[in-house]
Amino acid sequence: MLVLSRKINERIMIGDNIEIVVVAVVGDQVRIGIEAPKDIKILRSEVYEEVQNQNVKASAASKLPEAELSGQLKQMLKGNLPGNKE
Amino acid sequence: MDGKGIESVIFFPDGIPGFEELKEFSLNIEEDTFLARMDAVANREIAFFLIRSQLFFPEYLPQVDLSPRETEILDIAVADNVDVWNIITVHANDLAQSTVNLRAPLILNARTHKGVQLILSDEIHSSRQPLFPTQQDSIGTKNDQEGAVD
Repeated sequence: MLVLSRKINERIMIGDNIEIVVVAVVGDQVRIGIEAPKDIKILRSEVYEEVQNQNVKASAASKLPEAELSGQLKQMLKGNLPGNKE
Repeated sequence: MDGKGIESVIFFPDGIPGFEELKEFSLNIEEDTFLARMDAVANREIAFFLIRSQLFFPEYLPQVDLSPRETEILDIAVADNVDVWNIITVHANDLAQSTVNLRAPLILNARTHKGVQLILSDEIHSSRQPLFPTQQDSIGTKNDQEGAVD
């Protein structure tokens, strides 16, 4: 792994069209700005894991008695549709 | 994909996060069309409730920037109907506590029957948005614009 030291507002180029800038350092937190083409996916690494966990939870919860659950859910959601709000 | 009680099979070439090995899901859209159920074809134990979030959160207009891989999978042509669904996490003991994952919408191409679960870069959308919000927690009310994309 390449390790570089940077000061606030100093930048790093990655390839031709990605640029990283250190925006601020407060205590042990570093704020980083990233400029990249829109088709480059930029995520905090833990976000993918969070979506994985949420999918697993959602699937586990859907195993419950389906007909009953979806009926109740539907009623509650219907009440929440903007057109039905009081 | 509008209509009554429609069932179709959607192919997710990369699976979805947490179930990367499952590629085929059958999608059953309820009559009223705002609620759907999605079952893995290879394992009916794996199932999800989905909603059309825009009906419930009119301000939910995610900025969708597809990666080259996602663009290839969805293969969206100008005339295509693209469907957006979000996965619900049901809280069976208290349905009012159920949440919806606005951070990672399912994007489906109705023509090709292919789909992806996108993870939005914009952190304003929560993966655990209360489905029946109280006054305090409407969407997109974070303290600062941390993670917002400009």
